[in-house]
Amino acid sequence: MARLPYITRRDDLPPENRDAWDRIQAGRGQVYRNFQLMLNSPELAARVCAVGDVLLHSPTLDKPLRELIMLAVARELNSQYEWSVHEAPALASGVRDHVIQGIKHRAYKGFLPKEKVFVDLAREVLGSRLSDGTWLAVEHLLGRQGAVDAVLFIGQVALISRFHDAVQLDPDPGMQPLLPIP
Amino acid sequence: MARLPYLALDDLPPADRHAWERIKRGREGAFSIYRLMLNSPEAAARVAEAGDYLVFHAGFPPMERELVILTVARELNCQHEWTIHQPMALQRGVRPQAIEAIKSRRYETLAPQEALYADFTRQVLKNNVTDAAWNALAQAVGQRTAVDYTLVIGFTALICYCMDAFRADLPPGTQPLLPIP
Repeated sequence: MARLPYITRRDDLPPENRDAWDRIQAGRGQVYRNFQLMLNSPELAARVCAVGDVLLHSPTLDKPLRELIMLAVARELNSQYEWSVHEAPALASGVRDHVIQGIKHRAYKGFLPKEKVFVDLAREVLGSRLSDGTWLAVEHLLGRQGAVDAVLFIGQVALISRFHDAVQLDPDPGMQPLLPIP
Repeated sequence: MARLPYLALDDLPPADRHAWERIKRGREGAFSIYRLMLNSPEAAARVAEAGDYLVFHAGFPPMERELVILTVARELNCQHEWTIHQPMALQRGVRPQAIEAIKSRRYETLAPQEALYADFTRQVLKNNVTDAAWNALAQAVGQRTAVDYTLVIGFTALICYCMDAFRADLPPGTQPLLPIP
């Protein structure tokens, strides 16, 4: 059970903080449950959401790439919620099932270079050891702005995943855990 | 040498110059990491605005904030963040013995009031926060500030990842202070 109350309605916030609700809703179309928890600190929730919004609209990070990166981060951080929520959308967006299973089990045989390089990026960034080879490959594929956005996206997904764990975000109704965690 | 150019106001197309102003508004000195991040201007400005909240509005006592930042820098082996923050931490009242304890990962030698923050930080980074650690922090600082601490840990990690990924140079004349295995 979550360690904080969900702020489920705009009116649950004091009047001076209601714009935080509006900003999150404007960015995402709705206030998802994770932000309902984060809204216990309203202004910060809105500012964190704003970072995510710009990355979700990055011209260089298309949906399949974002989904692949999210899964790679979820695997590295053993983030059950993040993985279980994103496995189906990743497949639907065009990430190959072979790649999803490979990330899940850390077996990268049969990955295309353009798939493997982003798994490497996530693992190396989260390990604080990004190699020249991986950086140059990503910069070559995405350009400078895209490479910055990809690194920021990894950091943002890690931040959100860690938040979910710390506050014990509840699973979505009917959600099955899909990530084997040692 | 950094993997990206350090950008300043004049390097940006007019349409992106607001990003520089938004970053500059919040900070005085050390913002070289944002000059690298400015290769993606709008994202850089929004990251800076989240950072501003954590520095100016979150209402953490400065000492506790520095303890958390040093612990993140140590756990992620981030030379740049550690070297910038070690003198700041001292200035803001972190005990020299506590700085050495974090630096050498002898967390068990921290005073209980320091260990509360360092232990919570390590658990957040490992994605494994226990009930005991959450409850201890929430009781000490309240739920809202516990959220803020959680996010400042994630945010500092994001900045450390950028420092490593963009290979940010240490400020001129600075000696590295963190032993890295």
